Amino acid sequence: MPLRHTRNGIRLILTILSTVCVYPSIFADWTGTKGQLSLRSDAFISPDYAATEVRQYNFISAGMTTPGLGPRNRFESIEPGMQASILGQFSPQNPVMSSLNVEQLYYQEGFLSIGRKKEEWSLVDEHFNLGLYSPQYKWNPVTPNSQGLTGIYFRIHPDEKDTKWGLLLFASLLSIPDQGAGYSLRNGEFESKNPWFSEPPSQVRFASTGAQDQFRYQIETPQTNKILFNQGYVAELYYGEMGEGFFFQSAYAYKASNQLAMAFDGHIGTEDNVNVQVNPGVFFHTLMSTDLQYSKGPIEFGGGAFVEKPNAPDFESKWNLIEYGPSSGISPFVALRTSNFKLQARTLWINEQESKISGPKAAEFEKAGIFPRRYPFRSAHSLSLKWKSFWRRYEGIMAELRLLNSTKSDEFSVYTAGLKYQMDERWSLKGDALLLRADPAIKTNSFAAYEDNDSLQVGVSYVF
Amino acid sequence: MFFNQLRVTALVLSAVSVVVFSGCDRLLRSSQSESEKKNAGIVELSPQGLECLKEAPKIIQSYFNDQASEEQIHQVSACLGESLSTFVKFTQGKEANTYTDQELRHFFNRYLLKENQISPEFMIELMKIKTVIVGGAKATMTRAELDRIQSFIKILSAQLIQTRGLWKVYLFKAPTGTVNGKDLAIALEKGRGFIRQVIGASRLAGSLYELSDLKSFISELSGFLGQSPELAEVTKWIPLVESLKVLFMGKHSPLNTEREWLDSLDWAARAYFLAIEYRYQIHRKDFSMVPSWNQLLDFVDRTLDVVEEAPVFQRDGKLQTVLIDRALDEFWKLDLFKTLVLPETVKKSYRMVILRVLERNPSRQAVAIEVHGLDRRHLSVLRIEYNIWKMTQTWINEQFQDGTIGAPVAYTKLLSAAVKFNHQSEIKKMKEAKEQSDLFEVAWKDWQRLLKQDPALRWTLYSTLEIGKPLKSDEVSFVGLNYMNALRSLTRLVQRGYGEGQSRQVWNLHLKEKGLVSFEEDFRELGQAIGFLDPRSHNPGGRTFKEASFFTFHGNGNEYLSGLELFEELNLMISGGQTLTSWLIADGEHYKCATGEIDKVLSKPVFYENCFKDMLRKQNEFRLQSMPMLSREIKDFSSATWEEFYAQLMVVAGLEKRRAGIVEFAEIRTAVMVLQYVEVLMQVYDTNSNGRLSLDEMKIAAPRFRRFISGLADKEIAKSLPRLQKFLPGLRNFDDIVDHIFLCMMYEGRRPGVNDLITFAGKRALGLGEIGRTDLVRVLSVLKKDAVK
Repeated sequence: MPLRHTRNGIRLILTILSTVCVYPSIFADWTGTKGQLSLRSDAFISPDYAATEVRQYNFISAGMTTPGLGPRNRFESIEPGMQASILGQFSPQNPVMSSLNVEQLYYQEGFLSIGRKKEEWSLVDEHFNLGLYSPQYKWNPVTPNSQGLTGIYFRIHPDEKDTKWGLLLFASLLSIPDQGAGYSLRNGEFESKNPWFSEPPSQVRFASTGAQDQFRYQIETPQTNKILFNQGYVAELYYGEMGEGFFFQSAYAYKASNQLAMAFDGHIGTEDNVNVQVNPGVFFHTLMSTDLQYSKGPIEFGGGAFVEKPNAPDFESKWNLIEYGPSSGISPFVALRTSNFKLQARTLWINEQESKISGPKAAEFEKAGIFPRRYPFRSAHSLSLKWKSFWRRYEGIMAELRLLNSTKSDEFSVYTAGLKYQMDERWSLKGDALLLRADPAIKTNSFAAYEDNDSLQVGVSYVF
Repeated sequence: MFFNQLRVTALVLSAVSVVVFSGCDRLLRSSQSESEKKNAGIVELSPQGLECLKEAPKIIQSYFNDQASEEQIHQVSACLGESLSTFVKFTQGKEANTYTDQELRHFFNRYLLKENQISPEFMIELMKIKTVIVGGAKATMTRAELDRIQSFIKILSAQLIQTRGLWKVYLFKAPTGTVNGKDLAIALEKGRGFIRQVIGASRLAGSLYELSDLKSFISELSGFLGQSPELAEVTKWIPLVESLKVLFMGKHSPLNTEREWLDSLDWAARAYFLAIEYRYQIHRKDFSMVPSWNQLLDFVDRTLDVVEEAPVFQRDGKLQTVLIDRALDEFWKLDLFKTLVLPETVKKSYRMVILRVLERNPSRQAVAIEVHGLDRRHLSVLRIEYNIWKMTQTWINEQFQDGTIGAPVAYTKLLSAAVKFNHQSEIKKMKEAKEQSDLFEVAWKDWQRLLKQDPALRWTLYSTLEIGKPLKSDEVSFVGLNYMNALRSLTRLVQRGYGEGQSRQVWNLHLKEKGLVSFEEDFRELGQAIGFLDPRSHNPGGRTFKEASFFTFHGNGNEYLSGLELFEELNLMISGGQTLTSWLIADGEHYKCATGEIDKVLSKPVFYENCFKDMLRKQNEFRLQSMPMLSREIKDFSSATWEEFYAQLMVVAGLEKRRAGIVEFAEIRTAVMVLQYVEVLMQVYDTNSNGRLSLDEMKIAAPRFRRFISGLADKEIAKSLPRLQKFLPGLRNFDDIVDHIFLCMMYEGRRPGVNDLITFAGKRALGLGEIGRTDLVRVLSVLKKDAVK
């Protein structure tokens, strides 16, 4: 019997976590860890912005990053110890916009890592933030960030100097899904407090009579063990090092999806309202991916592909849900890179087979458009530019520009730009811009809900 | 160095900024309009199965117009089923598995019905229907009951497919000629199956649902649908159906067991199918065909059975006249009989039939209002008379079974067939066979005697009586025999109601003048309403009595009419008063004799007299061919003789207040009757068939008129016997004087005084010649005023 299905299993997991993760973290050596405090202001600049009454929000952020994190050669041996990358932000104006991003938090001991750790299982997944392998921090769903899978990692490669290949294994009894924007639900209605939370439809109009009713949502509290305690396995074989000649990696995974399955049910009530029950659940999927690239001098090119086969979620027959079909994606890229500059152009095409809607009211719920889509988009071009220039050791500018555009004209375009001015070892100024256009008429368009969330962010950080 | 880098940085950032943000405005602006944004949070929901409801009413309507295909019925059935499933799936009352009627109303009004809304009252009626279909409480509907409604819809749908294309028949909307017997049989069989299956699948049997509930339902439905011509077409029948239901089934049927319910429903279905059968098979049928009559007999048998087996009849033993009146009122409101006769007239008349004919209450103090019901006793009498008619009709049908409509049967063959007819077999089939067999035996013998009478009535193929000697043919037509049979039954009914005497046999009762006058009084209103009686004529009952007594083949002039005399008079009335008269009216119109004026009393055309007179002479040979001797004589008339003959005829037939140059329907009808009477006298008394009556022939006729003439003779004449005897020694008593008066009138053409009689006695002694038809007509004109006294 699977461990997650037994009390003994749960006890074992908790014991392992407390022993391997929590205990060491308390007594860990935090030397070199950098703390960060920031003040940031987000302004929504679109004249049509109407998601909230207030257009500008201020945040206080605090976080920490251990020195062992950051881009590293996979073949380097890592010093044992606790590693973490955690950032929390608090909005005094609107607490629902506050969040905590525990991007990584793990304990490293030789070839073994235990905890939440980011790995680039698939470069396609990471580049487009699809969330196939790595859970996504979607405080801002337009520009999500990857987080690490939580579990036990084994990195194996020959203990020889010119080793070219390695094997990374991951196993877990714990699945932590994507972290979305905060929301508040009162009396069955979502209160529009967080512009980054995409509210489900608030009203329903009956085609038969034109009667218009309020949706009253009720989110079923799932059993914790069903959401969190799920087995997952990932294995990756890699050859070479990224950016250094020929590089290849191929991964296989069977695990719970980072995106929750949402089942719905609903009834027309007697008080001119439609009561909708939302039942989050988990579905498993099988993933296979491959990345292949070649670098020579400033030129880098290659591509990646993935195949996903989702399993049907396990709900009672009264629930209405979507069963995603198998899908595959392919993504070639080309890049120009120097020590201060990187320009990359990348394209993604996803071939998603027909999803199956099931349940007694599936057709109606599908028409209502409340089933979540599997991918944020089906195909896109991405152009990213990173540039930095430091004229002193701790003073310089870092700029980043990214364009994500649908391969189909006018479906969506996302422009992000960031500029950071590092003033000295501790202080920095940062500005970010997000411009977005999306056609709400296209159903597969995940960005449509945020079309008016064009924003500017300006902040100052202090590292200690 | 620093400034160089800064410049480069600024340049790069500026370039990038220009590129990236050059389309800022396009990006910043929303692609949605304000209204699109407003609607963005609203989703349109079209629950599966509800869209088809829009089309369902049209298909249902076309189904009842026999235009829907089987596929469409499946479609509607599936639609309703799916709609119910959707309803159950998507709605939830305060109780998980139960809806209250108000919740259902809320859901229907808000989510299903766009234009029409269900009122609380209509909801109550819908819930009653629900209890009829699936049972349960009136105020709630459970999900299980909704499931059962779905099952019921499937059964109903299967039956609707079975009866597809037949609903115009069921709803009385199909043109009569388009439904033949085979079609109707199939329709009725399938209709029975429909009722059996649908009622079997419902909870109607044993429910408390009544017609008043259905009425309320339709009333509320009418409010729900607004102005709906289709519903109006249905609702107009409700009062009639309700009145018939109350009449035959009672106001509140106390049905306690399911068995009683099923029996009542079965009875209602039988009655309904009889109504359908009447509409398509009996109404406006061509009864010149033998099969039509067989069908009619079968239909009447079953109708009487249905009436006798009506729940009210079974329970109370009678149908209340007040309820019959109400049903008649409803028939009249719908104008189903297309008649100008007022319902009040019909009500009074049928009550008089019950009072006089069925109850045999001769008291003049007994009035129509005293009749409270049609009871078993009455129905038994009707059954007996019907069976007597039916027995004879069966025999008639047999005689023409193999023949064509226009082929008459030889009279001798008929007589032989009447003897051979197995009437006992027919009697055994009757319900009253055991108790009343002797009565039927006698009735059959009466019929045989009627056939054997000399002279016997001979109906031609043209529905007129052949009068004259010798008869042109020895054949009788099917239609003629039908007339005879029907008029024999009418005679029996009149005799039964107004005849006197000790005989057990109705046919042998004596109908005195006062009896016929009473009959005329009782049914005067009806007679005038149907145009049979002319309100301008005086004492039509007394006059008819005299005509039957003097001018029928077997009239004997005594103080009562036998069944035979009345029978012959009625036959003459149909032949002359109806058939011949209608032909002459049609001819008058054809020859453009009509003035364009309509007689206000009888609603018939009025003619220019000269035109009509000329037309009558021209058409003589054709129209009066059933009176061949008269026709021949008219043909041979000189113009002057014709003028005189016509003038005398109009003296007899003319109305009291004649309009110069005009002849009316009533006058034409009377003239035709006079011609028939003259021919009857000629046939009976013109023994040598020379077309004239000699003294000896008139002497034979004299006794028939003796009682009448004696009534006219004054005391002076009675005293003049000795003086007359001087001239005519053969006059021995008063009867001889009366006969002498009769002969005098015949020869002289006027009412004689004593001197006239003496003069005539002289002429008689010297020898008299013969008199012809014109003389006879002249005599009738002289006696006209006395005849109506």
